[in-house]
Amino acid sequence: MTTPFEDLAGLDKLIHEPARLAIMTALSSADHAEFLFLQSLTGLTKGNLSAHLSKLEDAGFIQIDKHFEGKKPVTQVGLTDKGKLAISEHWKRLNNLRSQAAQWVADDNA
Amino acid sequence: MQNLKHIRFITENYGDMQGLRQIPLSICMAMVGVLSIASSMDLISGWGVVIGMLILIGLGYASYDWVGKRYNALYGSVQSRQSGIADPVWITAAIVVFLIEMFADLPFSPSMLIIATFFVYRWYISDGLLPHYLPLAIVLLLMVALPQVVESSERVSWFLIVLGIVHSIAGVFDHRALTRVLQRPAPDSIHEEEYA
Repeated sequence: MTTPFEDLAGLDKLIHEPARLAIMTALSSADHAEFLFLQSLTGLTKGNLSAHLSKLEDAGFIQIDKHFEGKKPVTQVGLTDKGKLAISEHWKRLNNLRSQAAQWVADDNA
Repeated sequence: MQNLKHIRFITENYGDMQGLRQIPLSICMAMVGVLSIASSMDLISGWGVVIGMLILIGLGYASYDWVGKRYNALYGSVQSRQSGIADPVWITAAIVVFLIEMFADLPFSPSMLIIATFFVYRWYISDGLLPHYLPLAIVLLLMVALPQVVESSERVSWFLIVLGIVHSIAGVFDHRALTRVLQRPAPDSIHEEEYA
């Protein structure tokens, strides 16, 4: 069993940033998604989304595939195995922290 | 956590939530019912019904495809992971029961009951994202008594009309729910330097 501090310290800052957490969460429930979909979902600008994706790609969490469909350039993004493991571990830690916080709130209100 | 659940739900059900895509097919379904009733009232010949149905089905699928491409052009595409066998099971159950219902003269419509339950199920799994499925399920529950008020020869036609209309309404609200989420900007995404 981990201590609360270990749970906190174990949170991956790279994933915990809200936009990247949204991106990783979306990708965890799909085989891959188009750049445009991620942009619509997060409301980020192209430049901002690209920057976030580059960081995730550098960490080995996602893979980016750029190709043409006819004359249209398409960028598809998917989670790597390392990324799947990282996001599932992150949720587990968040859930632990949330359960502990819920207990404190219940105790305070009692 | 609630937002993350919605992000997951939208990504998993992106295709199903493209509501405007479902509307042409739903309208066609209702129109097939209308044509069938018109035929039983001798307002249109048997051949007229067959040709009308073929045109409607063709138009329905062409529109379905075209609107799907528009969604992908506007919001991008997602290759969803197979989310399970829940939807095919519901649909198959409704069709099988409907076929039984056509031959057995029942005082109520069990297939309508199955579809209403499916709507409640969709409302429940959406975690507040698709609230419209609950009132639509209630409408369908009221329609379970449809065999009491229509002649048995017109039961299938009325079934298609009611289902087509309800499904069209669901499509409009699905689209609304989808575009609300997809337009929403991500919270505090600018404060990246705090985490980098």
